[in-house]
Amino acid sequence: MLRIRLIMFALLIATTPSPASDPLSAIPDEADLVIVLEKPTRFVEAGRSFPAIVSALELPAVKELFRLPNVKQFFDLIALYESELQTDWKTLLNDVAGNGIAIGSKTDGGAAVIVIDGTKPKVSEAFLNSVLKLVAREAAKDADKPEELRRVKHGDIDSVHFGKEFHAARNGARLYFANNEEALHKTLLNTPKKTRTDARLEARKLLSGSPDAWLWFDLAAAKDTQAGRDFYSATKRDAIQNLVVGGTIDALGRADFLAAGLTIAPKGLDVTIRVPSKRSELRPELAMHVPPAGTPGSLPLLEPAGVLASMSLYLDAKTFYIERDKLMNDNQKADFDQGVKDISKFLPGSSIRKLFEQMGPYHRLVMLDRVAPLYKASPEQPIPGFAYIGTMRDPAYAKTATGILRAAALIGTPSSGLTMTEQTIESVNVVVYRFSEAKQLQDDLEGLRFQFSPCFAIVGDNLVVGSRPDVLAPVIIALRTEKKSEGDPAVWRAKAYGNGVAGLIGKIPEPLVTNLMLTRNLSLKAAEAETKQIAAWFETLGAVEFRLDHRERDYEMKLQWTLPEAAK
Amino acid sequence: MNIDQHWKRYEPSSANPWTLAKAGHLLRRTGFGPTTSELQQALNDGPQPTLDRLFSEAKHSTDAAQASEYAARERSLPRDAGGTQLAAWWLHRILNGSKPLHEKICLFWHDHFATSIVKVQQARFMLGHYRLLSELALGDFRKLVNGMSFDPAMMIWLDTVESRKGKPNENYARELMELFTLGIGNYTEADIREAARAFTGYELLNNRIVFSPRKHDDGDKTVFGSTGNWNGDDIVRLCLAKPACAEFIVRKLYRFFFSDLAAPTDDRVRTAAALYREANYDATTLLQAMLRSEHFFSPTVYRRKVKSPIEFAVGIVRGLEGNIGALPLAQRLENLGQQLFAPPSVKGWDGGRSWLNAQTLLLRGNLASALTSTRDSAFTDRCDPVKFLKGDVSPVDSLTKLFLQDDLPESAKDKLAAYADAHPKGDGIRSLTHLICSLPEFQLA
Repeated sequence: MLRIRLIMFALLIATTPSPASDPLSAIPDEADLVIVLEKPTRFVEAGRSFPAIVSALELPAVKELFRLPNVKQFFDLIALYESELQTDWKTLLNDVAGNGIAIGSKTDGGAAVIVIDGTKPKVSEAFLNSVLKLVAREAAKDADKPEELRRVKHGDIDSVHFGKEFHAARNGARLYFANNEEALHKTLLNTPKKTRTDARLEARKLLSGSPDAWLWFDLAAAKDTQAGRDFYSATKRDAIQNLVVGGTIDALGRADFLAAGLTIAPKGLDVTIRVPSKRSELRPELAMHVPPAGTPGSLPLLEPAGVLASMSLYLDAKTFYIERDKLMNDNQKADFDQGVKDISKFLPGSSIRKLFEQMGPYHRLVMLDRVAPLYKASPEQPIPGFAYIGTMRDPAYAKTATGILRAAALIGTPSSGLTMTEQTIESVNVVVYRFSEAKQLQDDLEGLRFQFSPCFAIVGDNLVVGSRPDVLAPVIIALRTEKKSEGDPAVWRAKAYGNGVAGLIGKIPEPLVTNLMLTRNLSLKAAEAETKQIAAWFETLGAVEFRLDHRERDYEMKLQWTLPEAAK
Repeated sequence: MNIDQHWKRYEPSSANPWTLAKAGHLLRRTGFGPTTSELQQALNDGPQPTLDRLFSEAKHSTDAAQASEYAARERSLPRDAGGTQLAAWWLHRILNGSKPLHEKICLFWHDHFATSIVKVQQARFMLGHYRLLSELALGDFRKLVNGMSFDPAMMIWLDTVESRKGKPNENYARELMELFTLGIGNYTEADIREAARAFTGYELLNNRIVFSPRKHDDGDKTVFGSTGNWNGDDIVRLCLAKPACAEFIVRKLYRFFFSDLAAPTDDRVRTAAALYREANYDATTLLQAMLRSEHFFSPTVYRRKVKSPIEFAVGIVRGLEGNIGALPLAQRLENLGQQLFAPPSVKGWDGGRSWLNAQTLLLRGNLASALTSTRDSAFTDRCDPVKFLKGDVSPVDSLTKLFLQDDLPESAKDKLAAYADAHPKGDGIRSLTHLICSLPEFQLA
């Protein structure tokens, strides 16, 4: 059966349609997930020539995977089609699938149909015959009593069937394949409602541009299930969910469909997911996730030297505090009120409400490749240093927040033996704490605290809190030198940097070297050489950014992989 | 009592010749399955030179030793490393090292002093535990038990670090007598209570074991009728002074190296125990006598043990001179019920017939297939029978000789030959290997 699935997969790759709507119009109404490749040839070529993939093929671990029989068989199959039909794979792909491919699936049950629109009926016919021959041959290998080929008439169209998983048909230059007999029959006999096809095309319109592959998912149907209803009723008053992903859940909840598009280009790759949920219709109590009109969604990402990852987001604590009753369940509210009461003890002359009002809504987080030991008892596996940078609405916030930090440190001092010093880093006064190495902490037998030497400083209108002092200098420099741009419309951005990861591997190679020795039984020398090769590969990967944006007409989640100049 | 009377040395003769089957038997029991050249060398050399070689302190090859030491560094194997990585580290030594008997006896002691990362939670302590086993595996049992009493992993595992004056924890004292030295029936509850007081006062502080004199009970204790201000080493000394101790260890060694089914006769136990005591609990002296005996090579011992999952899998890989990663193998072995550094209880693995049931047999078959089919993404073609046979024209002969020393029913061999005739190449050879590794005979050590 695996070989038959391989053939089905090879079919997908070896095929694809012209007008975007053509194969899509044949997908049955019942499908709740539809994937369309409008130009399969371009899609396959873009994937094959994508620099990160090309360079990954040089890694020994990947080369080894290409020796797997199943992978080899896949390429053998392509070669076989080429030889039987006396053409090369690109021409074959264009002839058989030049007008596009659409795949429809019913997620509940797993029935799937592939509709492939070619440009030359004769080639499609020859191709199908070649596939049938192969399937028959493989079926004979798999069983003592191989399945017989069955033929069924559907008006002018003959369908062919092997066992339970292989069903196919041809109508001119259009090929149909399915893993479920009933699904194929429905595809051949029923004409999908135009309204259903149009609804799916809405997804394509929402995506704009020219994605190499796009997808429509029926959110309305998913939400109408018991599981969907339960999810929305359970998350509506969950403070954590509302704080972290409240905006996204709300946007998905207001949309009938989800559209996703994949575009591959030499300079990078992006995946865009959009739902038709307007920014103006966001639940008012979730306004903490969306800045007022005319203000940036998030501040620019900070990219200090040695950055591994950077995050920037909008989250307005003041709005959260005002709307808290609508965002929390009763237990969470009781805990929150108790917490407010406890913290208020450290806020003489102030209050939590004031603190939240003074705190700015823009937050940034950076992770840097700072791993040098901080203590004699430094943990063997260092955690890279990181820093939080929060804006202030009111300069008074600096005093209140640092007061809370000092009070918290003071409380922890007797048990952890924290000592405080003040240092000047890049002309900024920084408060630095260190843990005592002589004290045993029952709550931290692992010595996790020795990864940290917490520190904080006020830099302009930012509160900066670092996990260790050596992250502050690059962060301070980055804050001073960043362009005072208007920021970005996205309300949440996170970016990971390939060269940062490469640098980290260079500084701490042991985990990867060991993994290579234990996973593939490499010698130490070979594992060290391969580790260097992997680090060098990361250098070529550029950066991957994920962003969330509540736009006027839709909600967008986007993943952008940008390759560095040298790799383009 | 004369050792030769009950552990008579095996001397090859025309009536009882040194054969490939005997060589295979010796190498399986003292290691994890031989390679073709190891088998041939043992057959050519005879039993004594083979045993001498096994007992000699052969060093690991430079590459394997370097890799193993690197993988044991703190950054490679940090305190919070998972149990699977830790198991893989040891498996890597078993797969690549050149001291199979040493690793085998380490496995015996690991099963004997069964200590698990599941409770200890600190990979560095478990590594230290292994190093203690490794250092004294073939040496002085007294030193080993003394070391074990204050081994951080053991002290966490059996709660010695929680034991205080006035509130002694009895776990270690109980297992020291019941499972590590004497066996049930050779001590009283009062002995345990008193002995537990000797192990008080140790704490885990900043990942180090620290002795706090004020928390130690330094009063007199009466153990086995002897009274004194005994400390932990004294309790070990008192245990080892009892004749039951050496006999207990001999019985356990017998079960591990000889037979799952039959227990040794009392005479055999007594004579071996006497030798063990005379040799000051030196494991090498005892094992050399036991493994060189005619009894060890007799039909009552031959194929009277079920292979543990590690013996099963490593036997295939070593036999085929494969080069697979220890990590994916360790993951698969967990499904078969054997994760190194994580025995199921303080009694160790039940072993024997309990290794086999309908599910584990199926999983053994699947593992053999994953290792040899070249289709598994974790093992790829790193243990490929086709590469190993290098165009050998009689694969059935070569493989049955390697894995079963040709000792299998004719009917089974005929069926294998018929299969090989019908599938003489590529995947056919791989399936043939899988079939051989699925035979009942291959499940036995």
